[in-house]
Parts: sequence; structure tokens; C-alpha cells
Amino acid sequence: MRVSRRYVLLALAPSALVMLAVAIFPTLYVFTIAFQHYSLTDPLSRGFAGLDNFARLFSEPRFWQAFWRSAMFSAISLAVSLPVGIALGAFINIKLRGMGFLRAVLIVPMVLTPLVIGAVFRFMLGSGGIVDWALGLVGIEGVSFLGSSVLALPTEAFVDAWQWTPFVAIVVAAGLEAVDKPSLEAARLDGATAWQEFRHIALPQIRPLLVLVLLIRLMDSLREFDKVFIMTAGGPGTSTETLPIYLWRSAFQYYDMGYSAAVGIVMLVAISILATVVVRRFEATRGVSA
Amino acid sequence: MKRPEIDRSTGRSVVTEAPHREVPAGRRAPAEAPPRRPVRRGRGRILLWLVGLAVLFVTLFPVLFMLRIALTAPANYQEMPVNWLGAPYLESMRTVLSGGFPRYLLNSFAIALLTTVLVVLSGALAGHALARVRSQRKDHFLFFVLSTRMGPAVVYALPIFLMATQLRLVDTYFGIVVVYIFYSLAFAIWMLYGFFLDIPKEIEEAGLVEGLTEFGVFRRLSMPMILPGLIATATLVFIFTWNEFFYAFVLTREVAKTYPTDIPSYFGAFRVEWGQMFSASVLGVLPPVIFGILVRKWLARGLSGGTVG
Repeated sequence: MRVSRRYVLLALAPSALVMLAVAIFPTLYVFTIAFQHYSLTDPLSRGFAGLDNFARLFSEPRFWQAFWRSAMFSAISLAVSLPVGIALGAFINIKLRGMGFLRAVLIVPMVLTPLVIGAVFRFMLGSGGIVDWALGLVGIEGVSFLGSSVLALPTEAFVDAWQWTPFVAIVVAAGLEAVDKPSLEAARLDGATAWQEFRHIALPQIRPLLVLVLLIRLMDSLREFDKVFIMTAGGPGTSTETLPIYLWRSAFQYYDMGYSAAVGIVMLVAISILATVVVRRFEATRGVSA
Repeated sequence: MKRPEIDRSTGRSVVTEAPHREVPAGRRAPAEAPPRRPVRRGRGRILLWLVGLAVLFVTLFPVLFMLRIALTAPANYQEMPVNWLGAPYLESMRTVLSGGFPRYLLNSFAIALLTTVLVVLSGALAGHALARVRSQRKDHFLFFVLSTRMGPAVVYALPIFLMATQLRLVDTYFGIVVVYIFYSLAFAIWMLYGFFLDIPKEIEEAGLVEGLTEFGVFRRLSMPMILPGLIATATLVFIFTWNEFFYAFVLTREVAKTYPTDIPSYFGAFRVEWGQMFSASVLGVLPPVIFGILVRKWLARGLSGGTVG
């Protein structure tokens, strides 16, 4: 059906209005704030700041620490959830009694409220918690997962991976189902092992899908706030202060709006660059159903 | 029909597909069938079962543990090994239900429902128009829409909070619903756009010939045809809105407070009311878990912002 220009404009109007009010306008607003001295605790000092906020940010060690912590959090979360998720995706495609049930169960972590997941793991990993007890049974005593400034961040990345590995698995399983059967059969006729079939025939065919999953996981893990917030809220000290937590603290605890806006802009730019690099490097858009 | 088969030489499992489309089961001509990996019934199958059980355990344990602690007396929180079959202690649940929590649940429900209806309606209109328009610029629009999903909520929350404060929209249903519409709109547009693309164009054209307006075609023909997609999208929007924490944390106080923002209040300075907090959590995660399992076929597509599948 060919639609008239009038219909298109009218049909897009409600969505465009919301986008304008809640996405475009605030984004422009962030840019104006970022060039101001603007603190809610000191409203009288508000004024044009030029690039002061950006200069302050780039020379602020705490910002760079948060930056690298975010990178570390994402790296660990992806390094766990992608390989395990791909293997799990291949596994749940096996026809076996009870696999339908397992597939239904794998839905659960994805739809649980992230905040609740964080709270449960905080309880399980706490001192005297069930993980402590279980490790004690095999002779490992007193590992403080969330209380240690070294272990807290990786632990939280693992919790993030726990939530999203099933997502990777389910997407991969759907992709594997669509893999071209004749080429698998041909490979089998040539005597390929199961591993060779998977590695050289199935995986290359679902590559576009894997890149998309990588991109989504990357964005999601860089934006993760809820679970880290409820487990340690940035602590102990600042050892789990990732960029979102840092930004939340500077904006909603210190009310330093100008500086926080600058942090937000740097974050958006960094994420856009990263997304572009991933898309270019792996040609992610090829094969996206659009 | 997929069958699990174990490669005898490597012990690895493989998924093979019998050529069922062409040849009815049971009457397969042996000469045409590909060589099949021999089935091992014994050890290989048990190994697969063990892997499955391990996955099941890792996935479900935290959830079951939450449920158990919700129904455990405070004195026994740290009791090890966990007494899984002990009589349920209902006092925590009772305390939660007699406090402000039911109202926050109701808030969550009202806000998520209203958001869902508005998002699906405006998303369907936009998705339909985009699926029918032939213009190079529509790709730009679609990718712009997707890009609004990439930014972290923390970044948008800052200007939105300042604007909401000036407009006196902090802690109002209106304020949080508008933000949530934005939060899910990109996803809904992408998802519904895909469903509308799948409609055969002859049907819509026949509608026009019959004298329907473009909007009439949308309402009377296209919407009913993608009904399963509409339901799936609506359910997912409901789940996303229901689970959202950060915007609610920043933009609501008491009037429009949603269920997740109440969870941190159980963490006191000196003690944590674990039983009460998990009781509240159990009530809070029930709707998304039930809905999620109902629409599980669509979940991967939904969680990827409507881009996969």
C-alpha cells in the first residue's frame, strides 16, 4: 500500500512528539548545562563556564578510574556471557527430554527485576551467607566477595553475566536453528567432526547475529546501574564506582549539574565511538532484519 | 525433528536434522538420508542430563533461595545448611502487605499499564507508517530511534530531572509515564515495524480499493493481522516498565513511587530486613516472570530492541 505524506506525518506525530520532549530537548539541554557552572547546592554561582567542566573532568583521577572500571566491568561480563552463552545456545538446541522446560527456566533471569537480582546476590555473597558456607565445606574460608575492593567489581560483573548469559543462549539457539542444513550434511558426508561442523559451518553463518549480540551486551553492560547500586553502591571506597554510578553520585548526591552534564556527554560520545568501531570492525549491520 | 546424537569418536553431541520435510517419517529412503551420527543411549545421554541439571541449578537457585528466605524467620536467615522444607514463616510477608508496599505495587501496575497502552498505540502508528513509506530518510529515522536506546538512563535522567523540577512534574504519574513512554518507544517502534513488514501488501491494497481510508486500513486490517505481535510487544513493554528502577528512583518520591524503588528502603543503617525485602521482591517479580514465560517466543527479539529474529 502506498501511503500519503499526510498519513505518514500524522502517524509519526505522537512518537516524534515524545522523542522531541524526552530525548532531543533534554539532550540539547545537557549540552547547554555542560558549559555552565551549575550546582544545585550553590545556585548563585551559576554562569557560563566555557570548557571548564571538561577540563576538570579530564584531569580528575576519579573520573578516569570510573572509566576504566566500566571498561573492566563490561570486559568481564562479556568475556563470561558470550562464550558461555554460545555454548549454552548450542546445548539447548539438542533434542532431549526436559529441554523445553530448561528453555522456559532460562527466561527467568532476563525478566527478573535487576535490583532484586542484586539484592539476592548481595545476601548470598555476604559474610555468613550461603556462598561463604559452601566454600567453607571445601576448605576455603572467609572470602569477602563484595567487601573486598579487589573482588567486588569482578563479582558484580559475574552477576551481570548470570543475568544475561541466557539471553545470548536464546538468541544463538534461534540462529543455529536457521543454519543451512544441506551444508551441515555435506560436511558430515566429508567426515567432519561435530566440533568442526559447529566451528566452521554453523558459527560463520550466525556471525551477523553474534555481532549484534555483542553490541547489545556491550551497551547494556556499560549502562548497568541497578545491580551495582544495590550490591555495593560504588563501594567499598570507590572500588565499584563505574561511570553510571559516578555520574549518579556527582549529579544526584553532590548536585554538581554542570560537571555531571559534561561527564554524561563524554560518556555518550565514548559509547557512540565504541558502537561505531564494533559495527565497522564486524560489519554488524549486514544481516540485521530491518 | 531434531534428535540429539552423540558422536562416538569424539563423545560430543550434535544436532542433526532428519530430512523430514520431503520424506514422511518412517518411510525414509535409506539411500537418500545423510549419514547420521550414531546414537549413544547410555553415558552420553547421562552427561547431557548432568549439564542440563547444572544449568538448571545455577539459573534457579538464587530465585528459590529468595523465596525460602522470604518465608524464614529472622533468627534463621544464616542457618546452614538451608532448611528447604521447614514450615513457612509468614510474618515478614504480613508486615510487607500491611505497610505501604501494596500501594507501590498498585502504582507500578497502573503506571506500567498506562505506559504500555500509550506506547503500543503510538508505536504501532509509527511502525505502520514507516513500514509503508518508501523513502531513504526512513532508515535515518529508524536508526535515530534506535540510538535513543543506547544512551544510559543516567545521562538522560539529569536534564529530565531538571526539566521535571521546573515543570513541577517530579513525583507525578504524568511525569513518570511520559518518561517511560520514551523509555520503551524505540523498542516498540522497531518491533512493530517488523511485524507490519510481514503483512502481504495485497490485503492492505484491497482495503483501499474497498473504500477504507489509510487510517481505516491501519485500524481495521493491519492491527488485527499483527495481533500476536501486538500482544507480545505490549507484554514486553509492561515487563520493561515494571522492572525499571533508575528513572523512578530519581523522578518519584511517594505519590508515584513504584515497587523497585521501595526495595532499597529495607536496607537500614544497622540491619537489613532480608525477610521483608525478599517478601516484597517475590511479589514484585511474579508478574514479569509469569508474563515473560508466556511470551518467551518473542523475548529474544524484544530484549534486543526488536532487532534480532
